[in-house]
Amino acid sequence: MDLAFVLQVIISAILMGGVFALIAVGLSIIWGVMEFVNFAHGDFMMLAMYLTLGFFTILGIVPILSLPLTAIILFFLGVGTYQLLIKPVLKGPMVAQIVVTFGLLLFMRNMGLVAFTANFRSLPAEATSVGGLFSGLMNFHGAFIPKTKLVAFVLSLVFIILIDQFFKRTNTGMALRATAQDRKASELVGINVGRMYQLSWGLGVLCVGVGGVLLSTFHYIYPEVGLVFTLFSFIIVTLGGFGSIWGAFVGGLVVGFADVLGGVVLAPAYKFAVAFTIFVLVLVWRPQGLFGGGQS
Amino acid sequence: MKRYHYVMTMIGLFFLLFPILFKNPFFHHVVFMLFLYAILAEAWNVIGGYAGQLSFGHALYFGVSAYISTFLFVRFHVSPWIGLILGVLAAAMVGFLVGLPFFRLKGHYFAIGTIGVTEAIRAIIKEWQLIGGAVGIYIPLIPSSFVDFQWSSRIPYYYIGLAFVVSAVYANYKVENSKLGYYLRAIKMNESAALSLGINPLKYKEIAMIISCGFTGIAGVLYAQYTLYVHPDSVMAMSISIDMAIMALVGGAGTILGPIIGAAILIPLNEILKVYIGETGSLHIAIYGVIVMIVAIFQPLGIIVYLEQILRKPVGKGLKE
Repeated sequence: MDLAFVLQVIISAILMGGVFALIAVGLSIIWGVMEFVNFAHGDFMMLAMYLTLGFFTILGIVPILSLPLTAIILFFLGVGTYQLLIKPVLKGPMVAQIVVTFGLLLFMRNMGLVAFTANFRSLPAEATSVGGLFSGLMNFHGAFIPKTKLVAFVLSLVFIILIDQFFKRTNTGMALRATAQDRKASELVGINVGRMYQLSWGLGVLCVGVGGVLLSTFHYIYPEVGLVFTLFSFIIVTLGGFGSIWGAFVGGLVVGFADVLGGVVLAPAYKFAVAFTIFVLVLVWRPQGLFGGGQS
Repeated sequence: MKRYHYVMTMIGLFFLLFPILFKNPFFHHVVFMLFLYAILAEAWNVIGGYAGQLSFGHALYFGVSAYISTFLFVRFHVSPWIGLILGVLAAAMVGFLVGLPFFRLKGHYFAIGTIGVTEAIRAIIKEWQLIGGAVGIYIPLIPSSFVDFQWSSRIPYYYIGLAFVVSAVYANYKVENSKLGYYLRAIKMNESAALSLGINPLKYKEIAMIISCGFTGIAGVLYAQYTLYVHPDSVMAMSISIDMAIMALVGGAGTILGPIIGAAILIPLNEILKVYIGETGSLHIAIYGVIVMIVAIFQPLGIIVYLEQILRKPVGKGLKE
């Protein structure tokens, strides 16, 4: 095991981890604001990936330009999902809250299979390279880094910083955080909690959508891609503490390492087992996440 | 009350005589699948309905027992009946072990954990060449024999399935009307209050888990012997975990009849849609998803609530949260 190999593993893990983190942040926002777990999380990502593919193959728009369009579509899809499905079950028992997103998962995944067939697709190189600018590999002290992955990582990081700043600096962001902390008190000071819930769904689905666009530049696109990423997101968010954005980033890096190391040291099939073992240990040892932060 | 017993007797007689009245093998297949999922939904009901622990990873116990009986039969020619006993014991054991760390978790965390452990083990089994890996294990076709648990006709499977449905319903009846049932409902409503009254939540959740996983294991062996094939993606598929939970929840979790009602609505619907839309398409599961969403929104306690309104008497003790 030489230095270049170690470097290769570390860099691959960090690059993957950043994109994983952005996907997981979407789950974390919805959980943080309204303590609601969306089991169809990865399926929204699947949809964003197919949108990216469609924008390129049908309209010829490269992913980096179709990203804002996909983000807007996914935002309204999140808001629509909240209005149509989530709002009606909020007053019901917890069982209904879990079951409704399972129904959504079954619906989206299988409509995906009907509409797009089970074939694996990927974006052609000319879609991701943007005129040769981001094509090929970059040599970093003997480690080879695909430039598309680097771009995806940087954009994920920028996006996470933007979301974090939105939560910290804007009035709406502060209102969202207030709702997360105490919804009764927020109502008393005049925050429209229903609107905040709606916004958290819009933003959460937007984040997973942007993550999906970035992922689609170097990952296969198929209708069942969602499940693994839903589970990865659960693991990441649990590691980082539900509702914490930077916790999710660190969780993303941990899962990125588990993913790459599990694939390199053991066999690709064990990647998930490695990530999951870490998850079980953390759940049992620190159910509130490695960095606290989230509500119990 | 008398009318209720009368109706029950009629339903029982109908299912006993069904293969004699209807000769169409497709009907036998649909009703066998109905029995299989009725066992599964009733099994899930013990842990998910009465104890309120929403497990979405029960395919693990289904798969463990299917794999054990199939492996022993194909490799060592052990009768699947012995495989059934060993498989059920193993499924209950695995359930017990999964429960040890996970029963500390509440609500969503428990649901996520159970999905994850099943998916992780499924990925490992796919790589495990000794038990067939990603190829799976085929059970060779042999002449019909009771000892080998294999018949060319569907009718023996039908009656074995029916017998296990009756035993699963009886187990649920026993749980509901025993102290265990009261403890489980107390844990479901408020775990810390139950603890303060001297109920050990972990102990009773584990007992419920063992019963639940045992019956899931029975269904696993039954399914393996019916399809003569086990594969990680068939006997440990996430769809099995979700289906059994959803049938119990759609019908009415925490009641004896609710899971049966759920299976009786969703399985024929599924099989009929499959015939009309085609096996390869997934449209029938998408439609199924829509039904699940509608029930969750309009009648989250399950369809059995309507039955309660018609009969004008409570149908189960564990229905309300």
